[in-house]
Amino acid sequence: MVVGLNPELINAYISRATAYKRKTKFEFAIEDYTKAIELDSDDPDIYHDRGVTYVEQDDFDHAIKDYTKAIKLNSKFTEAYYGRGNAHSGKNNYDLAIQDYTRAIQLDPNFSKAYYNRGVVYNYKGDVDLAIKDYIKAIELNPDDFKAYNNIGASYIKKGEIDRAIKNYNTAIELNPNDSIAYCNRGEAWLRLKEWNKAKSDLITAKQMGLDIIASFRNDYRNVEAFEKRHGVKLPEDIALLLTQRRRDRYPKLQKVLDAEGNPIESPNVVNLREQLRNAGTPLGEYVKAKPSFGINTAPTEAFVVDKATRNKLIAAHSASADILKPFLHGQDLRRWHVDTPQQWLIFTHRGIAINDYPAILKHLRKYRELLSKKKSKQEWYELPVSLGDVERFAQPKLVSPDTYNHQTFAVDTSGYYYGKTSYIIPTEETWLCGLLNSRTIEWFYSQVSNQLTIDPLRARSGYIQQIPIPDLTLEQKAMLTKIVDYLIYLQQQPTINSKDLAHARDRVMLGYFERVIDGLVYEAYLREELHASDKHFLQPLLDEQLPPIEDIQGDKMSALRDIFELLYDRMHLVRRNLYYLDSIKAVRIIQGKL
Amino acid sequence: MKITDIEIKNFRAFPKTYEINFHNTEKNLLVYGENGSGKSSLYLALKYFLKSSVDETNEDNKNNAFENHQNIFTEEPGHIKLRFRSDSQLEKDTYEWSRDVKETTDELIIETSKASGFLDYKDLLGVHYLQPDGESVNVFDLLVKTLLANTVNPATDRTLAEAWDNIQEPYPRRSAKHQIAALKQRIEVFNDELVNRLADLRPKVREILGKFGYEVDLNLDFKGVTYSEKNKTLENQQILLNVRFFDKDISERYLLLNEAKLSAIAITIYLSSILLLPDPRSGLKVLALDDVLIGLDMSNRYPVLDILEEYFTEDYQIFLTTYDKTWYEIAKQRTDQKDWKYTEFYFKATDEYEIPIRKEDKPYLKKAKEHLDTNDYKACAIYVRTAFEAVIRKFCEKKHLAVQYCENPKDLKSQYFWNPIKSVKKKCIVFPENDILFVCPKLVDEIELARKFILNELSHATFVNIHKRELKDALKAVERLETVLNK
Repeated sequence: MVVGLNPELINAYISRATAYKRKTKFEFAIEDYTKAIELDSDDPDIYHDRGVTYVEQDDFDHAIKDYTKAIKLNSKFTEAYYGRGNAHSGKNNYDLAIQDYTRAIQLDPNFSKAYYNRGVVYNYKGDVDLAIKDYIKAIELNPDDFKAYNNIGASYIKKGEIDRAIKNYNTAIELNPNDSIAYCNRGEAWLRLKEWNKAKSDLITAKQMGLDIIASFRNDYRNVEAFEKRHGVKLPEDIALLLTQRRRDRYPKLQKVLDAEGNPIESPNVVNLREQLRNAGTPLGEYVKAKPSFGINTAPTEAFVVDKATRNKLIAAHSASADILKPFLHGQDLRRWHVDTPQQWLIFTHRGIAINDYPAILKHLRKYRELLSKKKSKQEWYELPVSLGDVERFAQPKLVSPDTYNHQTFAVDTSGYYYGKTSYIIPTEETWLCGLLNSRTIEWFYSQVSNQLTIDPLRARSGYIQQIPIPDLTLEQKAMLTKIVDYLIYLQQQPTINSKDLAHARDRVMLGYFERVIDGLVYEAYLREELHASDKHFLQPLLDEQLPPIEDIQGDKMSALRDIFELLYDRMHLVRRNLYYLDSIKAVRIIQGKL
Repeated sequence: MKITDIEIKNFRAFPKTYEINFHNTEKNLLVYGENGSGKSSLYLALKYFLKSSVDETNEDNKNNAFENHQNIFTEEPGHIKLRFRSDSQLEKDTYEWSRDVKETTDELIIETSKASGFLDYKDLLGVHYLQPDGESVNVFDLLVKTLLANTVNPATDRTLAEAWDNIQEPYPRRSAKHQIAALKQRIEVFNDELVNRLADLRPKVREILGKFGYEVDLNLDFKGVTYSEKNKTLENQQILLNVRFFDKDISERYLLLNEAKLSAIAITIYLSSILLLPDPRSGLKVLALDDVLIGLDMSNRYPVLDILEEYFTEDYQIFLTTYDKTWYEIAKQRTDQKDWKYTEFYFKATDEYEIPIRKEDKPYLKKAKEHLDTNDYKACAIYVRTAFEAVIRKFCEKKHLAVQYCENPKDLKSQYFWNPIKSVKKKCIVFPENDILFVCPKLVDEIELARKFILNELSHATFVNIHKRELKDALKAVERLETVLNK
């Protein structure tokens, strides 16, 4: 298509591009410049303008091409040299950048910005004195240039001349009292002089102006430790805290809204939902008959906890040893749903034990006599801080969980295993509770109550766990949860689930999907009205399928479970559909961290 | 349930207010629009309206706040309003999305959003950078970062994009064993998720790809990404699209994985992923395709219409846009006028800026003349042909003429209608031997001539030289034919 020059159209494109640029819609601006160039490919100004826009987008290569083209069309195009200098500097091509700025300055000796930017590049290169010279020239041409003062300050910091740096920062702040960067820089400079109060005041001012002072500090010194090491000082705690990134845990997402002072406040949505859940049932601590508790403090563990070989040796040496060697796990050994067979044994020397009945054990413990005697307690050196009554505690069916985790991790233990103090034990026969406790709803509730007072990683502190509300479920609901929990317990033991072979990926997806089915049932338990109002049911469609309990499945249980999974996973199945659209319910969105 | 009205005000390319209404049976929309005429703004209005409902904590969605799409030439606040009506009730519900009002967190909007598909030509740009190596090509980026990015894993409720973000930098220090183990675990989960998605997709993709008439067997081969502790990089970012061509000799195969075919495959994969989604309670699902057919040649565009017809027209409300006028006309012919609404967007330059104008359809021949007057021969030819086809079809229907049988109505060619018309006669009751032809032999010849150049179905994809003279003659011939047949 042949199009003649159409100045009106070109101008239209250019003015629209300018409008887009003002609105920081750079992509659109570039499109328009490109169209203008298609209509007139010999106008250096358009290339220049598009180059500027590319720089805004950090697309330096295209920018350099455009500036170069502009320079080709007009070899005395000062602004194009300057722009190309910026693009080169963006690419860290300092020498090329300096060349271009120098050319721009030759063409226009009063080009203050070119001096300024050349100074910045000299500074990057480490040519601090040349940088200061350029900044001074920039100020000479534009006496109000507070940024240049700021940069001179930074250069003096580099030279180690802190006092002179502060003087320049003072000027920068005088010229522009809203210059948060200057405050931050001056604050950092005061740190070098150990003027803690002045430093703190400047840093807080910068922060209040909205500057990310932690990021600025990181740019200059990496972190507090690095600063302290480099300058051989110890920052006061409050300042160190001011400059330290708070740890941000990936999980769980906390719904925090900031109040006028920038402090987090909770949204009413969150508070209301938390209270709604809290009122939905009996606290777990009251619900279960026996009190939940932590495992046994086995310190020193090397004495009391033995591996398989040692266990066998102890039994071979004296058969009575078997009576007090208990299969044992630490909290960190635990996964969801199923407890793997322990590979360690605990020497269960309860208080008041007749130790002489177990000579092999006694001989073993003697090796640790010195270590064992360091324990400050009333019991004998060979005793654990447990009583014979604790046998009952571990023997009964229970739910167990590691005490530190960032993901609800409860498992069903019906094998009477023993646990270390990093485990949390809820004595109960009600397997369905495991499903409830591992659900997203409870995970969210727990993160809510446990995070109110502490920023520590989630610790399964007994108090918080005991607050978990247990809703009054029907027998059908409990039976369904139990059935699926049993599926999960079975699945968790299967080799395909525990392998990393991608050929078995679908089996692992199946496990995740059954967990979502549990989530669905639990949402329905706590948020019955909300779910049913939007016609989302889980119990009924599951009941309709008449799923068999795991123990009733004859023959290849795994392939039966796969069939059940494919049935419930089908896009037309109500369970799948209701899971997929569950987040159209506000409370679910809050729990899923989407609101 | 369908969207009955769309009202867009001061949004992106639309200054002032624009409305589109779907009356009675219409529910789908075919839009022709010049570049910058606002057709993409219409697409984005729908897309962002629906997407504004989900995951408000998502940074990407925050960037899509309404004010970021405000028309740049006006300060007056804009809005998008959608009205919905369910099949069972006449009452309509209106939902608004603007800077100050956000009614899109309603269940209906969220579910519609999650059930719908939005694909535009930018999504397919990735195809352009693929470098086929014989019969296979690495489509990892295209799939993970674009086509399947928004698909949700039923086992985690997470989108693939989230799972992918979850294994991105910064990577742990080499000595941080626990963190590395945790990262590797996340990578395993990602791999499982992706393998499973591809397994879900495979049958549907193969099925739909068959509609393009490719005799191919397609495989998406993903072996899992792995983490290199040494380089601190994710390796094996590879999904090999392997295509086995049946009955082709080697030399031909290299020609086969071209950009058009890859575009077709990409579209197929996307459409398949949408078809795998569960149905929302309201039943409303939207499929919007903005200019996605531009990478396809004509022979690959027809199948897309067939695929839409077979898989989407019944359950989805379809929005199709194109800047290709020829294609627009063809698609218009091949879609069911009862379900579809057709709209054209043009530029109209004003003193200050360009605004999109929308043109409702006029009779074909009238439009043909308008285009002839403005020397747009290509457009004129399309309208002449369209008029010709409409006239002969209508006549055959009216007279119950026997038309050659064809299983798929879309395969009906114009000659099937034209041939019987040539010989049909007006009955003269008094003197049966005096029956006269509806169409006199001279007019038949003129039409035949015009068919060679203008009215031939195949000519439209490859207009080479159209002369004004021939066009004028064809136009006149069709005009006369219309008069004769309508008597």
